Amino acid sequence: MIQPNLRFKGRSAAVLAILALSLVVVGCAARKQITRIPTDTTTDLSGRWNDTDSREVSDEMIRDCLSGSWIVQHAASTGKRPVAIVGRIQNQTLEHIPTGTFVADLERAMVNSGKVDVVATATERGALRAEKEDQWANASEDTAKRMGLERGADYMLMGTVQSIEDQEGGTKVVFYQVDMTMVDIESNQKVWIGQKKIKKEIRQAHYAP
Amino acid sequence: MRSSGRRPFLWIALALITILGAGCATYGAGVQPMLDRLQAGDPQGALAHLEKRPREGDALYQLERGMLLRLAGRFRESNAAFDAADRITEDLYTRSVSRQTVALAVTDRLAPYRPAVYERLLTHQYQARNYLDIADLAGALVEARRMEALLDQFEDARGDRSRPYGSELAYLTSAVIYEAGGQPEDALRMYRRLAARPQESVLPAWAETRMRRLARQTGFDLSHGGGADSSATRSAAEDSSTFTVVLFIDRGLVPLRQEARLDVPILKSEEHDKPETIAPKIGERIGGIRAHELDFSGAEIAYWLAIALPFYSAAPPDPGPIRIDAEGVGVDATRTADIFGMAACALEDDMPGIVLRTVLRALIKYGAQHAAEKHGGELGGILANMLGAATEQAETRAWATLPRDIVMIALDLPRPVRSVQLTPRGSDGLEGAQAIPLVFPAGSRFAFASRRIWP
Repeated sequence: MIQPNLRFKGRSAAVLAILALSLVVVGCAARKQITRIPTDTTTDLSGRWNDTDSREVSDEMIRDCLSGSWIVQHAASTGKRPVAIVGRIQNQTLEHIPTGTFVADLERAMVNSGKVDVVATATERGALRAEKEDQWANASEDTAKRMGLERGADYMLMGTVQSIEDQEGGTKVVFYQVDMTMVDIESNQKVWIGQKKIKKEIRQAHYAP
Repeated sequence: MRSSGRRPFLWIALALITILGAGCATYGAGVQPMLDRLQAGDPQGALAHLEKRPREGDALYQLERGMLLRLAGRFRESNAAFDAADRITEDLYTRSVSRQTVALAVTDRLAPYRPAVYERLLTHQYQARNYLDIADLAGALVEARRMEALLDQFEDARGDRSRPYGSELAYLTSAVIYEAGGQPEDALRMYRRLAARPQESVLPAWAETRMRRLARQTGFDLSHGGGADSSATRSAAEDSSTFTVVLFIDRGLVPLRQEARLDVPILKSEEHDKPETIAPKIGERIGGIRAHELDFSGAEIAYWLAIALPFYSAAPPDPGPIRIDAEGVGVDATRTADIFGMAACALEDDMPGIVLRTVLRALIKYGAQHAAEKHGGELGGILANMLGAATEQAETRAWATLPRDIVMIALDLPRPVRSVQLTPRGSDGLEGAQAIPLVFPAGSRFAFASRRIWP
């Protein structure tokens, strides 16, 4: 028989067996705990784009957009509040980023500020026009809303979300840049440009107990 | 005293034998009922079978689930499962020392499943196709970028670029998605990167045509490293007048990994060798036994180590080309991705590590049996031996719901169509023509369709 070099103490074998059994037992245990937390809490779990990033972008964009000179200049030249529409916000990152969250925040802030009017987006317009057509077919004449009276936007909000990722071993750096632009639909002139940059470092240990 | 001292070990050994012995011998045996339902055209039933034993934290479970949800037409849920698999895989960068130790001592199958490179690329390929199936081109574009990022990562890391790991399919899928998304420079970059790979004729004819067209559209000179542009006389108007149909046809099921059980002898002359001396000998011996080159009939054997190793049976035959017809245009499309070839290569690449771990494990179990014999008597030795044999399982895990191969083609048509006709070719010629409806992402001149067929 092979002698001491390959031998294990009885205790070692038992420890190995206990370890294996523990794994099997631990694998069967499943627990879930749900706690409600404030929506402005910063929660970074996976390092991917999350609600905190979205909130930071909307806070920055709202502050910058509503304090921009373009609103005052438009009012001065036309005597009216500017009318804006949300155009395409392109996600050019490696993540599925729901741009609708911070764009909706920005839309809400513009409307609630009373400084900018916002009209429905191209997608929303389709549903509204279908509803108007339906009203003309089914609603009473005095309540059916007329076609062709939509308010045309003066400006279109466009934007991109881009990211740069760099990784070495267990360290990953992700840089996000959100650029938003308000463009004069008639002249193509860019009247406001907002930008928000976010940088994250995600460290992952190579070994854990 | 002696009897009470050995009792805990005996009980633990018995419990482990019971628990581990109740499991299936191979991963394939466990998922076979699920695959049977899938092949019978019941992905929902296959999914129900899989979900009987949910393992949310297991990447392989999420991959199988993602594929079954996709085949059941639940594309968003499928992508959520694939996303979960991706997150789990990323988190596996951190290795649990305790779990790795136990896996080394008991069986590789106790270690968390780490998807192979080809499986990781295919995850994003299927996610992209899920988005295309719901006409979400923006979502598909994210997956195209993810595939490109993974390709960058893997190509940097891999020395031998000629080994198949699904890069061709990833390049082509990303390229057509970039094209459909109005990103011609990005599409051209993907075609060019594929064309520049070391293998010859790796770029399908349809892809070469598209690459040359994109080069003309973007003003890129392919003659520098891309060969002379023989069709440069075609007009830009002709280039933009077509409607493109992109088809992905998945065929069959990738063969399952099998388990080979070997008894490897330790000779009497090696009884006193140290583990580091004997381990390489056992490794060589395993190779010799598998190749039927070793004969131990005259040798004095001290001990037989029970070893289990994964292997694939011989490659299944190529089902041949598929006939695709639409608007008077007909082509014979051939295999774009040989999934079985990728799986076999991945196993081959992993085999040195698998053999090393198997040898170390065999030696640990051998040592444990000796210790059990000494402290637990003959019964202890027998139980330890049984435990060793029961827990010795080959690493037969691999994504089992993948197809045998994938045919991908981009077909230019003179005008938009609602569907294309697909006719797999059997050994007796054409058989089983079927119409495939197309999905039209908004604002694109591209239409997409996917189909799983069972040759």
